[in-house]
Amino acid sequence: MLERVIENWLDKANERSFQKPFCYMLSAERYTVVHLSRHCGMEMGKDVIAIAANGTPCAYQLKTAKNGKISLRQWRDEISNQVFDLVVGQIVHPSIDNLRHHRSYIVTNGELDEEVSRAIDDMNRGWATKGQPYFKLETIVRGQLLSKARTLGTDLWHVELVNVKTFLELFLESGQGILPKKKLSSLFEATFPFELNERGKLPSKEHCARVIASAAVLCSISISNFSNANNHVAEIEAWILYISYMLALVERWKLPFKFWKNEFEIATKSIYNSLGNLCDELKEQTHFVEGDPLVDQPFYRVRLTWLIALMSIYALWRHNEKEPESEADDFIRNFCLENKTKLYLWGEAAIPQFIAFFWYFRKIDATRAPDFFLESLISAICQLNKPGGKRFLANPYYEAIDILPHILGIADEPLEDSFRGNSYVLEGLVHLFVRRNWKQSMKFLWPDITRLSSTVFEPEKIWHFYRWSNKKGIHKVTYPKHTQEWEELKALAFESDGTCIPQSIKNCPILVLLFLCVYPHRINSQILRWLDTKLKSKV
Amino acid sequence: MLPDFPNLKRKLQKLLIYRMKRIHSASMPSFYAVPKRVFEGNRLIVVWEDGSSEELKIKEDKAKIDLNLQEVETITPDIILDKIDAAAKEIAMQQSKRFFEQIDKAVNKVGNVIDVKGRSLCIDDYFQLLEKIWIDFDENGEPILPTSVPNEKTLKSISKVLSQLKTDPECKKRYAEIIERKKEEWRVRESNRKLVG
Repeated sequence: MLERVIENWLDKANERSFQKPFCYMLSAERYTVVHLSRHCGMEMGKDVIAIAANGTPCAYQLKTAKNGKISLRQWRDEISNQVFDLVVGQIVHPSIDNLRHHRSYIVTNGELDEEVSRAIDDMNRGWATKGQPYFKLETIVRGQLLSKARTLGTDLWHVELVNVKTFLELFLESGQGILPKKKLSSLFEATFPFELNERGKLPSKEHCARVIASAAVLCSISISNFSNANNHVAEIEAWILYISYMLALVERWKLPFKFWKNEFEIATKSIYNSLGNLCDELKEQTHFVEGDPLVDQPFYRVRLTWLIALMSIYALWRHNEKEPESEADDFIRNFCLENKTKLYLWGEAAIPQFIAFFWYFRKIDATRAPDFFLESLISAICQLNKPGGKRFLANPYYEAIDILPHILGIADEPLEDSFRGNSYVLEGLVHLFVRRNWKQSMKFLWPDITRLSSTVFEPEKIWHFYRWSNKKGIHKVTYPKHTQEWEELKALAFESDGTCIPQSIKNCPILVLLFLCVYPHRINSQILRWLDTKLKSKV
Repeated sequence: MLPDFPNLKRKLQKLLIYRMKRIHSASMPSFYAVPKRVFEGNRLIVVWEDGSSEELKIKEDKAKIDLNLQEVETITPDIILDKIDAAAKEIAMQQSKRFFEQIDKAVNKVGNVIDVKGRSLCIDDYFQLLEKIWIDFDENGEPILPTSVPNEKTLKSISKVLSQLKTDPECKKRYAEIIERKKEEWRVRESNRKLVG
């Protein structure tokens, strides 16, 4: 049955949505993927660049087959010129040895018309007769892709019936809405081998590596409707979840980097590309309304808050990657600054989004404004969740989709939870503000801060950090000191070991920030302090 | 298996659970607040303001609903509802009992206990009680007085004490003095909420 799903997925895929699984298929065949294009214009005809196990560079151009086949007309109108560049044009990439000629492939999710096969054959023979046999176009078509997916997929997906249901539910999602993260994580829980096998033995490193590649294909197929709908935000969330579960496995079995390097880099690059695509989409927009405008108003600012956060992260990441200053940076700066007054604090789960903007804001504005932004955030939380207050700010376990029905008064059932007198995020924000040394402002805020206890969740094992939900672990509720020494508070605020953060992600602070946006319930003061230090030193 | 109607039954289950929650809530003490939900983990630790900490034991409250399968054919909705209500009350009772046990433990620990040794509560006992506790004040400076949870016998004596407070000028004066003192204590407490150094 899963094989049928794979066929169905491939038939409706476009070159953007089968690019990532194709990369994972290559990776499973011991290719090293060094480049994925953003499909934002041709990059010399090369959508994917990889290095084979024997060191041969390979360039791939991905093409969607219209009506299941690439016709001669499509070949002549769209493809033939591009494949010429693909074959003849040199690969310019720091990881590629220019002295070796590359192999060139056209990859399609359909078949080739007979005339197209003939045209390719003619082209190859033409080069050979001219004494250039190293110029050759090879093909990877539907049947080969299916075979690769099957080899990688169905024999490794340890999905039981209940998870097949989850998989199909995800696969059949329209792709227009919010990614059901809980569902996707339950699929990963069933796929990754976190426990000893039936014989009580550790899964081998090779097996883990194959599951990592296989789970990536599973992820791609599950979220294919989101990819086909160009739902970049859902794609970003899905790949962060994938990376998280991959790293959980890495931490669980202490997998050396070489067993997950390729998959990690493909996923990271995909997220970076999706952020770029989102930025391009925003640049084209004249408004930020989505779906039925008649009922969009309550969701508009929730969306804008999310977009400002993602664009802030993209800008920080671009800077980190030392991308040359471009139009994209100007756009992000204007977009964030023009819309910052529309940020909406709908719950503590939105705090990572606010914080992402705060770190970016600090980078582009050297005045006191970013610090005052932080101060207003602290004040808002104190007011909203103070004991006896009338309004509330839901804890970070409530995402927008969970809490908005209650805020809008359209929930089917009453909210059976209380947020009074407590916060999961306040302590971390206080520490960030203390780091800015606003002592007098802090003195003014302190009485209200003492009225709220701080809660933090400590998972039992370090690798549990990456799991969506954990059965074991401690909820620690701490009441702040009423009379607090400034120096003592400063000492706490400047600690930045980030001991709760697993080592496997510590090299990528930007990913930690994205992780918090996707897993807001993992936020705590330790992570915020660590990120503050890292982002300051890196950016 | 035999033919079944799981989706419809799920809807009915939802309604029963909703009723159960309402009955449970109504059976709890009047000051019972909506508890905070814990979404993950299996332990709860509280670190108090003075730095001391304690682990709160997470306990399960449960009630059994007996249903003889032979009865299913003839059982009426009223009987089902009675069983649901009884289970909800049973859970509420277990929680209330534990709740009061915890309060008892806490007040004994700090010495906030007044033993009237079986006699009726009098106005002096009430004033003594007010003296022993912290009283907070709202934004308008009005005291936020503690909620009383009396048994039937104490209810009568408390009602008597409260009416005495309203009518007896001497009692009124003493009460006002205590509240003023408590307000001062509260001011001191509030002014302790500060960042120093």
